Amino acid sequence: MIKALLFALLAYVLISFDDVQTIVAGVAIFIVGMLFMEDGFKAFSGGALQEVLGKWTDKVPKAIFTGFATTAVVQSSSLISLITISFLSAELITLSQGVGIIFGSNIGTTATSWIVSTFGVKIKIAHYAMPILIFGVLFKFMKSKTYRGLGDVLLGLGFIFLGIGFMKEGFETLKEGIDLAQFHIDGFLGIFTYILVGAVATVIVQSSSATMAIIIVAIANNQILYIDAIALAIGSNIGTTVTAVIGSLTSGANGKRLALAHLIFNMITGFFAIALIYQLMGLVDVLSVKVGIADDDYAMKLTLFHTIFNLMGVMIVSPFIHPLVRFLEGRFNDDSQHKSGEPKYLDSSAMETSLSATTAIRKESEHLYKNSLEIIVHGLSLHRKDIFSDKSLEKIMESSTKPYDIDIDRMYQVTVKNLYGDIIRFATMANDTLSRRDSKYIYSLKIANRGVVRAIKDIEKVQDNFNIYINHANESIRNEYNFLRKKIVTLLRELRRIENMEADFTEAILTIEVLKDNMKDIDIVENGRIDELIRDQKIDSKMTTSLINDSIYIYNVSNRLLEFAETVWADNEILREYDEDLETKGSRIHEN
Amino acid sequence: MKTKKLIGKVLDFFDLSKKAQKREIDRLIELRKDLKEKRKKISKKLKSAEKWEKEHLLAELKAIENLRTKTKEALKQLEEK
Repeated sequence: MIKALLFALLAYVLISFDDVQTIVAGVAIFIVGMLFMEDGFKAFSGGALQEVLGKWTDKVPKAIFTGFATTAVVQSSSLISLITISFLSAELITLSQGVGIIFGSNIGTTATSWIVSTFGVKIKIAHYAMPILIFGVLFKFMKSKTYRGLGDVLLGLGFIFLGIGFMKEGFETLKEGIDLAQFHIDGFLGIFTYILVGAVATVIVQSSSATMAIIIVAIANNQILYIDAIALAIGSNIGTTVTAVIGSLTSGANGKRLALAHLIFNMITGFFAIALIYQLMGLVDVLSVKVGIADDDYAMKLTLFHTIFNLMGVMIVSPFIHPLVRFLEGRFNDDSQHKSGEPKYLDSSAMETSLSATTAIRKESEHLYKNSLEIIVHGLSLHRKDIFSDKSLEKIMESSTKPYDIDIDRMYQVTVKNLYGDIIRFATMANDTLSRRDSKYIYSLKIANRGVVRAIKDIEKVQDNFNIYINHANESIRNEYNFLRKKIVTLLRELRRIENMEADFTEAILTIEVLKDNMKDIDIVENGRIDELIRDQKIDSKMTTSLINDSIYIYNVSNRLLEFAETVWADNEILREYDEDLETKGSRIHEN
Repeated sequence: MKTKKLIGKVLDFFDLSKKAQKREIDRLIELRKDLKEKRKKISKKLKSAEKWEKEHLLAELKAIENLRTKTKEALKQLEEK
């Protein structure tokens, strides 16, 4: 109802006042431009933006600078916030880094104000908009995704220039009929009134950059007083956090934490800006003289004020980032909700970028592997703590003779099935976001996960025989089944070592290669031991069949786990591709 | 023509697939170099190794040879792209 009334009121104003219509059209075009820029940079940067935000943020000051620089370049703090939340969901960055990026991004938004106050109001910027728009459209029709992205960036820039042009024109004609400066209110009452107006305007247009553009164009046309423009700018900074907080209500814990950090930062900054408003204006006057800004160039002075008060906010709040992060983590803690069979990293916000989506899927795959490992180990009547201890293989076999009576299928249903389904679902949904390279990697991860799930199924098939033969009176068959168990223990120990050797790629890849060769003698037919056992009449026919089948199952389990390790911990797509070529000549995994 | 070249350069700068391919080639070259070093060390160790240790070292040498062949082929494939 309220919305309908507001729309009706807006329609009436637009029809009745031509000047207002031009200004509002300018704001609309400006916002369209920002949306184009956002989409364009997503496609055009081809992951460069994510790479910068992922790598250049290891220390908080670096994160602040990167947040500032990236926002200044892409002209969109919401795009940077979106990427930051997606990185947080995939645990690519810590919350301290994320908060640093958001603080820096706040300073970066002042770049738009500088563009508007230096070029927008001083030259006929709309003239430059036309050729930019034409080139933007031409690029937009090209086949390559990168060119289309560039087209969007150019269209965005063109529309922003055009929007500023319209706003300028609107205010120029408006001042002939009405002087908005007459609504000035003296003292702090006036300041608070304009802060409120600035905040409300930003909530309505959903963009502090757009509000700042209107304020700058208005002050450049002497439509508002300098002090009121400053109050509006402070209000716009507060208004933008309201938008972020509303947006975060439906997001996960990371989105909420960042939105609250943003709100706290802008509230504190706003408080200090109001308390020190006259001192800051004095500082702006001093600095303006030093950098050559004319005394009556209020558009530039306002921009300088906007930059100084954001910088001041960063200087005041950033020493408290760590306590702030502790507070935020305590306030929105959703880790306790994760059960073993539920995904930990597959947050929808991680789907925003190729890097975060890929990392989330990789980490969730490791989670799936850990859950599967428990089933595999228990299925062979082994204890996890023995496997990852210093105990010798012989000692482990001696202490693990009691069959583990576990229901593999039930464990699979509880801890693996849904998780596996969620990974596949997430990977499919994220496919549009993925780069070509990441898309290939995700395909390999899907295959690796499928392998781990099938390994559980293989273990389910051999569980009964293992339970019988690891305690059997016949020493030969007992030894053969323990030999298979020893192979799996050796493999799992080595895989744990590979998992922990992140930096040593060569060692990881070499260990896998040695293991591949080492596991070949699991197959009792190929290694010739079965002939010996039959010839010496050490096992009967039933045992023979079981041993032949089970050795192949265990060999497959080892290969599937190795394939997983190769994909997740020793990622080398090219070698894997080459391996796949070889495998088509002779399959490494026996299909049953 | 100059503008086209300039645009090409800008796009190349942002084209991560080319960068990724180059990184992959560098990584493979580095891997081959590392493997060569490891082969040297293991061969030296092998001369004075006990019998029980020899088996493991020989397995590592075999794996190194396998990997070096694979990396060579992979490099060839990558450079042909």
